[in-house]
Amino acid sequence: MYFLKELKRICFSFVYLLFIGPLLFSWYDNFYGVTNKEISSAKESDTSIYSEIAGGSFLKKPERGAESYGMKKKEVPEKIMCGGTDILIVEYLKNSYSTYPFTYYKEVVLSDKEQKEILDIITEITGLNEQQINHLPENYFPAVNGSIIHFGENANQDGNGNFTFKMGDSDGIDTGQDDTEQFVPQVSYERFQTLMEKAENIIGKGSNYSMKNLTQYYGLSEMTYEEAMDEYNKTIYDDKVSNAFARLFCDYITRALGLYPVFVAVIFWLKDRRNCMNELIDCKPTGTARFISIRFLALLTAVMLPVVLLSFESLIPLMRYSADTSIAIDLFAFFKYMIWWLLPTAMIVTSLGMFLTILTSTPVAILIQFVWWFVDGAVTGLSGDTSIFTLMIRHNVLGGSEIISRDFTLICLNRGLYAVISLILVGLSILIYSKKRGGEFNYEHFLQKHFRFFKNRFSSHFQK
Amino acid sequence: MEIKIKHLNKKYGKQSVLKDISLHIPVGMYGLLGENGAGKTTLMRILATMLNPSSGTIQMNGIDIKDKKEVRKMIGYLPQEFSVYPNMSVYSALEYLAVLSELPQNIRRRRINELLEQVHLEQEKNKRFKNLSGGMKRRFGIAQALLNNPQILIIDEPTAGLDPEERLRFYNLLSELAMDRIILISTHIAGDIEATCSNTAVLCSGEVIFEGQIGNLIKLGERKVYTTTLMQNELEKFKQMYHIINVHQNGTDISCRFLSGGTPQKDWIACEPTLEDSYIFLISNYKQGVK
Repeated sequence: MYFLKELKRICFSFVYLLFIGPLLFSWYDNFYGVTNKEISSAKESDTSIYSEIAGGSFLKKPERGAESYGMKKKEVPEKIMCGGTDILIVEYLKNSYSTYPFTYYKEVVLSDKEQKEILDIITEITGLNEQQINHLPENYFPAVNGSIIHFGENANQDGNGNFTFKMGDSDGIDTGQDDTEQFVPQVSYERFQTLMEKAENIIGKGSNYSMKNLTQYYGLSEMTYEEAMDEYNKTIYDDKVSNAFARLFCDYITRALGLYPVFVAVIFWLKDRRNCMNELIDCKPTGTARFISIRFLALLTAVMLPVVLLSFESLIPLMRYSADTSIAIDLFAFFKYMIWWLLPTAMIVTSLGMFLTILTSTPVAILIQFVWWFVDGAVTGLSGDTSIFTLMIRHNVLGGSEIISRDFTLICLNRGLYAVISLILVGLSILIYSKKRGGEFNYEHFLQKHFRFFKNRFSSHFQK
Repeated sequence: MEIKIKHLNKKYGKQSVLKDISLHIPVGMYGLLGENGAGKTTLMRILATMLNPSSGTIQMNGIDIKDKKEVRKMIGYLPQEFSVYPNMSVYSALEYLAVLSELPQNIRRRRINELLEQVHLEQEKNKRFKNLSGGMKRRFGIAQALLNNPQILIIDEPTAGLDPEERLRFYNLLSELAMDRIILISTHIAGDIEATCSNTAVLCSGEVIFEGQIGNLIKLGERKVYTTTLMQNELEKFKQMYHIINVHQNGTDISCRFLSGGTPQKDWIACEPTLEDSYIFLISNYKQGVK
């Protein structure tokens, strides 16, 4: 009964609308319609962005003899060396290096001394001197080299204004070619990696030369039929289709859950004081543990409720797809992923917001959570980049179950850790609230005296 | 049923807010009278388990105040400043607080309806709290304090901001409730105590300077209250010599009611003291003693 009352109070509050709005926008912008698109592209009536990246429909069985079986991330040293050297030369010649230290673009311009060091790296990789590097033949690199496109003589424009390019060789580089006419690495892959690390140190964090970025930009290779079949089988039998969509769904939703619940939690708790309700509540006989736990559960339910509802937008078409094709899907895939993947994020954000608000009676938790969310988003790659302290687990691809399998233990530890910390924060909240409620932990006058300016400013903005 | 307070002290840092308070509060309505800042609210909050005393003991029906969970079961508290989530209806707010009072579900609805009738808010039960008048809000406050049918009702400055009619209605309501429980009211309005309580304590600068029956407090003012007629130009000088309670302008003359502990003069007329006169006399006497 008490739980339902609190849940109703949260769900009918203005701040909850402010939570739902950005959550819906984020979901609509990123995930809405993806499942339907993939299903229709499997029937060859449509294509989706994910299908295009993969080079074919995600749900369509590969047919032997097809023109392409799609692309796959693969660490092919020659391709990575070719792409990495290409972009390094482009940036060296302009003395303009792109970096993304915290996901935001920053241009780096090097000094003459640093430029000389970069030149030495290029010279060592290519075997060319400064003059040759400054006047490279147009065909030295493939017209389409990973994420780089050269508009040289290989690019032909048709009457409609469309360009066609001559693609580079699929995986290998012909080392028999003249190394002044076409790129032929003069160093081993290990040495190349060392040189790229050196370049990264000169240019700065977040440059194009970390192995993570090089693999991401130049690590795509054409799949063979066997590889494509293997991917398909993994999707149909290992992932049971729905698990793949559940992961992508969770990937987008986790960005929202890493921040927005803190607003609901903080404003919910500040409302008692704002409305002079706290003394009416505090003198009632209900136990603090029951009071805090139920409020926490209500907050968590309110946060997860729209997420559960949104998952049906993907699950229902998948159920229809399963009925049409007789391919078995995992009906509980979304539910399972939401519980073990999203719930710990929602728990830690909600409990931290609750704890800091009870402790300080200020909205400081919003600021702290925002910084955490921003830094976590900046340092975490789009997929397969989980550490023990990653707040938002990313997996921005359909499929790729092998990445999850590889990191499974780490992800479990990470999720478990946050769930435990969250429960500890709930316990601490009970302790602090109990002390404050009984007047044993009274530092309001101290806060009022020393932080009145901040408190009043924040209060007037957020408590309403 | 009683509250026993012994040698109670409360300090905020170095500042003493309550000094060696000892009181015995029996069943019925008990008034705690004092100026603003005398320490009334601090004492009320300690009794309502919202604050911890620095030293001293409090027993409520034999239960130590440190046993907060048990004490909260037997008290109802109406703070000086309170409100409810503004968009909640009167009924929903009472239901919410009833859940926190751990009222069993089967009696909750009946109890809320009884209380709404008792405080004359049954017509307003679906109104949002923010749309209630000041008097209605106070009556709501009483209803929420009575949810768990407490043996002890603690009410801090209950009539602040109420018009005379609402005040009267409020005190009639409290008198009805005082039959079989302790009702402790704090106020700085002596008239409120006079109208409702049989026993009172007067707090000044954190100390109890009087404890006893209302009649005994009134007696303190006997032969201390006078009226006299003054010329306009005499008033300023008179103010410096005596504590003036009120002044009435009669043409060019001024009729003045005042306090004096000294020998009465010829043109002074002795008056029957009211509780307010005696209270003011007590407070000013205490302050002069402190000086």
